[in-house]
Amino acid sequence: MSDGTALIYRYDGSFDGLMSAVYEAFSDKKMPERIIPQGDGQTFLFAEKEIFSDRAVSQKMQDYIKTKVSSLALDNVRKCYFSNAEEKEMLILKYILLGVKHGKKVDTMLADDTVGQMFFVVKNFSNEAHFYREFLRFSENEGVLASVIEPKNFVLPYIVYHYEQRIGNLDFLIYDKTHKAVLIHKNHRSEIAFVEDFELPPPDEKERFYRELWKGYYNIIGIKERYNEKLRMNLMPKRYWSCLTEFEDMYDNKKRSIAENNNKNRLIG
Amino acid sequence: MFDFYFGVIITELLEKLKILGDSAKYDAACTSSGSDRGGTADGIGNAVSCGICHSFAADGRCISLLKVLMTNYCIFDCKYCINRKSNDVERARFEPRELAELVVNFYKRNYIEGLFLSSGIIKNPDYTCEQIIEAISILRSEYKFNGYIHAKAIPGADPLLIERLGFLVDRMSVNIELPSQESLAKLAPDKSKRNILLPMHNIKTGIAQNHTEIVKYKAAPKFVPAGQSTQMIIGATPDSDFQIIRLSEALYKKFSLKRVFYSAYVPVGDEKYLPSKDTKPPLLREHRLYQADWLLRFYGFEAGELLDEKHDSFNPLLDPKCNWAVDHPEFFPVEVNKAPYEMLLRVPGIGVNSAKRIMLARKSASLDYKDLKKLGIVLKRAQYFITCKGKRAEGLKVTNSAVMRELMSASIVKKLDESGMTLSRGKMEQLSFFDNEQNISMEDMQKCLTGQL
Repeated sequence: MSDGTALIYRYDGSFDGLMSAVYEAFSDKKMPERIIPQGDGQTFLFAEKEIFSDRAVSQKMQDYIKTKVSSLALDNVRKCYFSNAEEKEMLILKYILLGVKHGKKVDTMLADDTVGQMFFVVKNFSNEAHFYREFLRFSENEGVLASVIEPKNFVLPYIVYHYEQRIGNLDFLIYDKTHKAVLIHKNHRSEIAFVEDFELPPPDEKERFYRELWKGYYNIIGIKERYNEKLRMNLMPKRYWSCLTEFEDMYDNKKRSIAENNNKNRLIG
Repeated sequence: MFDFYFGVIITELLEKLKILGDSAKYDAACTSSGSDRGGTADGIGNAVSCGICHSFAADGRCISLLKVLMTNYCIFDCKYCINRKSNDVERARFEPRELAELVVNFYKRNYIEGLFLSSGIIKNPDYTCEQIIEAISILRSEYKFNGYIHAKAIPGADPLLIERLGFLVDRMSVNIELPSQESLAKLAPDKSKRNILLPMHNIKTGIAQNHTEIVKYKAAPKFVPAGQSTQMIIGATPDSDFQIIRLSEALYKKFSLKRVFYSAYVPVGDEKYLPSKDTKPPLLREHRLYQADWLLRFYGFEAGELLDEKHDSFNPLLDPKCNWAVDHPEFFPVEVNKAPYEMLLRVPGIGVNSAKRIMLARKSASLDYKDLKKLGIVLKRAQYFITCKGKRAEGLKVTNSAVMRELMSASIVKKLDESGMTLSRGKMEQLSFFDNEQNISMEDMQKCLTGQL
């Protein structure tokens, strides 16, 4: 597929853009060296090709994957795109190429390097999406439930449905601090938008009331004779703790001591 | 922090919640699995079939449901129970509406999947059951709560009440608590085997009838859609692992139970028939029972294959599956590319997911060890029991001590090392499967382990 000149595809970062890039590689019959989103990395060593994001082409590509390979394959491609995996664009391209070559059989080719890599990326993604069904907390303020999360992968599109089913009759929002995106659900409709910053409003009295009750409950429900810190950490990795109501005092204290330290340093300085 | 009025309410409710959560915590069941339904047009909540844990307590147990008692006042005097009438503890009682409101407010904040409601017996079993029904009715019809509810079927309550409750909840349970009639007579004089098994039987029949109705009328209301479960206390009585696991098997087969839970006994008082107050809960034993339970439910094992009258307790060193494999060299090694699914499942280190992935991957390729690793299969234990394309893993060291270390869990190995025991002394018959170079006495090891674990 290569004629010797290394080429880099530059796409707009959207899923449609990526699908268009894959299509481009197909019609060029030439494998790019890398596919990177705009504003990413230096590429002066390579020739660059700007990819135009084409909705219709993207749709054609997706239909193709779904019918010629499988819907599982298409789902894998989507999840991989939303993941934080390095060089995910090239993985997607290689995976789709395999699909074109082998068709449905790709679903069983678990020992293939590309398929195996895809499997782990998707597994990691799905695990994190599940974590945010478990370890996400809402605070109620003026009739709106709001939450802040810090996922590594862009899981919002994959947890919308769950929360719509669960509390779809209420208005809610989930702010993804990592990707600066917010899921807003209002009057039975959901939308994802990109916002620079968002902070939870300070809890009102009712909100504090339920937080206190939850913390009280959390602290008595463990059986002292069975304490097992390692097990708890395995099942609920510490990186999720800072967004959980049950640990809010711990993190408040931490924040306070950091602030105090900073103050001290400032005074000393 | 709060104004005065608010402060009084929160202190009161918080106290109540602490008492009634504290007295419910010895119930092991906290799963929210088995029901699958979407949201409703005007209500709140759904149910996800795999269940969702929302937090894990300091003991590492999952918190999925708000697990509380309606009240911890009780007219019964079961010796093993913290809420027994003769025990001097603080008592409290939820108002049905107060509890319903608490559940909805916890639920929408995503603290919980739903409610697990049990109760001490107040006045009589019927009245107690009515109180539970009232709280759950308020939740279901006033708050239109569509999330998961697990309720205890109160032993001795009128079958009609149990039936009404069954149409409101996802799961029901009747706890067996003690695995034999003798233990029950000694420690729970107010309960009888009949009182426990009868509601269990009624629920089973109810579920079966309901299934035929749902086939006929799709919109028929669902009766206990997530099935029933039960719990046994481990280590409060002399009942053996074999007795327990055989009983579980019967419960799965005859009563179609969804789950049997095991709860290591935590001493709650000094009773002459019970282990003394400083006895540690038998956590390893509980762990082994759960492992065996999994083998019964997902791996096609029968209780009689794991233990028998002569060997009636699990090996503290090896998990039950490893133990079975070591005892049955005639089945191994298994050829990964040819073995049927059922046999793959019997290989130590290969679980349900791994076995399924092997079956799938086999369709398009003949697998070697490198491939297995790519499939995410951990070979630490499996390597001793498999071949790939007829070959053993390269450089596989099959000496007793090496194999034994690989087969045991890391924590057990650590315990052994700390105790200064080595694996190369005495005689260990269990491992005759492998080279008989150096052996160790099983009794020795058991002694040193049970002392600590």
